[in-house]
Amino acid sequence: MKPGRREFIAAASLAAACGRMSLPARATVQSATLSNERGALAHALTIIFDEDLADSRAFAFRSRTMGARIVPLGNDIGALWFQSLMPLASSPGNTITGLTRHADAFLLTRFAQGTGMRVTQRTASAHAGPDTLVMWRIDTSGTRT
Amino acid sequence: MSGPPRPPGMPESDFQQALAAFRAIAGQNAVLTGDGGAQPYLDPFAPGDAHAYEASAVVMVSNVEQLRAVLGVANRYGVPLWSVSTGRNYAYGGAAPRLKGSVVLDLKRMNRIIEINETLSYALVEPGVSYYDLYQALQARGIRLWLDPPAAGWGSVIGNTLERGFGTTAYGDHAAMQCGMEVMLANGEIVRTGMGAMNGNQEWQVFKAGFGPSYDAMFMQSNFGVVTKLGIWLMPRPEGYMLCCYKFRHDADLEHIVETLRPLKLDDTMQSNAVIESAVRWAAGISTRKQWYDGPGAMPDAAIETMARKLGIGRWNLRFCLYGPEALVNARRDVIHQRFSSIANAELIESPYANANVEPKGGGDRSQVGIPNLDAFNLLNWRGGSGAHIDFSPVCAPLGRDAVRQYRMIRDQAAHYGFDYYGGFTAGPRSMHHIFAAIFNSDDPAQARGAGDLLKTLINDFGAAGYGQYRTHLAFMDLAASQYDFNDHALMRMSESIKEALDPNGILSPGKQGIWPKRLKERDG
Repeated sequence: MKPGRREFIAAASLAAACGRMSLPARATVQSATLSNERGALAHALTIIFDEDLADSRAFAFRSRTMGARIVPLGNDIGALWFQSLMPLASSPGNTITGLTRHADAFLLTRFAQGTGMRVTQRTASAHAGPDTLVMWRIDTSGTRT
Repeated sequence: MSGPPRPPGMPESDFQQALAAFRAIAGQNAVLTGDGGAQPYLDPFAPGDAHAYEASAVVMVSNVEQLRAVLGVANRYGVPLWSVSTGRNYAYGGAAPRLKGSVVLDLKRMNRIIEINETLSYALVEPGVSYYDLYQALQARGIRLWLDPPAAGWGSVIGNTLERGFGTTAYGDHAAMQCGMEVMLANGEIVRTGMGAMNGNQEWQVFKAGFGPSYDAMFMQSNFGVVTKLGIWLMPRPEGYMLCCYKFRHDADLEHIVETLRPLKLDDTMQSNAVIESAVRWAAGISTRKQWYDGPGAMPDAAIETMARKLGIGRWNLRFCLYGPEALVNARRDVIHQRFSSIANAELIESPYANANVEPKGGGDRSQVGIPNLDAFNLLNWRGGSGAHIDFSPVCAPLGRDAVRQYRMIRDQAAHYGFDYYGGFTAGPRSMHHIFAAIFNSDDPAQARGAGDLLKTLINDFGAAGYGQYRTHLAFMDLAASQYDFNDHALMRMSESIKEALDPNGILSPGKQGIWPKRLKERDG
């Protein structure tokens, strides 16, 4: 059974913050775990969100409360990559994640793979509103170029 | 589970020795193999099993010295190398090799912008330079030149030009804007074409031919050498521009559109490449299919009609851009509008004349003023799931009857296989690229196979009708090449002779454009 919208967003943001990317599609999250896991957010987490999608915004804002930096997609995903995200690739330990449409997820994860960043998850999907969204995560560990 | 493939017929020990030699040349981290190293080089849009075109390893060289040494090793061991600049055009196979087990020769680390000459309006670049890279360099240095980006701006300038890619400014025919190449032959020798063949000459990027003969085109869409530098002409930034779009109400308008457009392109009244887009192609950039139709098979005509009306788009939409001083732009606009006013219900949407410094917002508009972008990828959302596409790309004369014939042939076969006609024509003065994308959910094996079956059918149908493609996906290179059959495939025999002369060990991109080295052709019958 698919989770409800609130459960999905909660699970997705928690998963992003804690590095558990297998949650969103069938998530059951107890609110108590939020505070328990918050302290585990020791790495630098950047959340990419689509300003036009309510669920993506909600995901980002919820993640921000757990200490993540949030960045909108804007109108040029290539510029976003080259100007904002690619510089993160030079420092290990960074994580970039997002809840976006498939095309945006595809582009950003492909950019990441091209520079040797590790794409640990990119296909967990769920219906969270009118659009089918994709949750993805890339890590800078192992960056090659 | 089986491991990664090896080059066909190569003993494991030889392969490991070759890889060790590659590491010694390019560095440990420049060779990717085993444990998923070559995984990112699989074709993400494969119309079937992506592993049918799986690389055995990847080697990334950083300069021509490394490249020469890698070619030496490849010749010694018989390692097939599949060279890619950035390998970003997934509609045609991305960075995956035609021959399973080839080693991908990734040139992205050769990424120097060697020169940008504002006075003579050109750039000289290496293979790893993307359109974004070149654009950023132009911006950072305040150079008053525009590049012409293809639909996918993350691609390589050299890669796209060599594959005869195109864009939508007045410099949209990329191969035609190429001037001067440096090529490494399979034996490691470096050749410069045109005026570059002369030591101390300064006209390499301004005069193509040199003393003759001219070979540049021989290294486009071929496997005769590895292009290491390429000159590309850039467009002097105009004073201003006007973005224009016609919306045509009726599906039957296509013939009239093309007949009206041709003379305007031939006499250069319309400077930019012009793009005729179907309603589905336009809609796929701003909506998803499910919003309009969620039934089986291709979208019915009634659903397309409803969609077009609700989105306020035409059944056909014509985009172009006019450049120059405002008075000239207005004069061109008036002539064009007078011609198109003969088509019933044609509606011209023109943006106000803008200074060249003003950046439009939409991706298609940005492309027409030299700004690379990736908005074309929105089509991946059209069908839902893990959207993917492969393209069918026949050449079409700018004649209304041919455009209509090709459109109907594709539309009807696409519908037969359950695909929408997502297509359009990019029109230059004397030819049009007719691009149809078969969009599918790559998580659905049946859809992926259907896309492949559709492409095969279209290539055969079009070949029988006398139409050829300018480019195709890896899976169909042999079939597409076989359509060029004048004098019992004399062109292919010549290509094979050149291949044998320049690359006797057959190490460079075996199977590219259907050109196979003699040793592999004989072995495989």
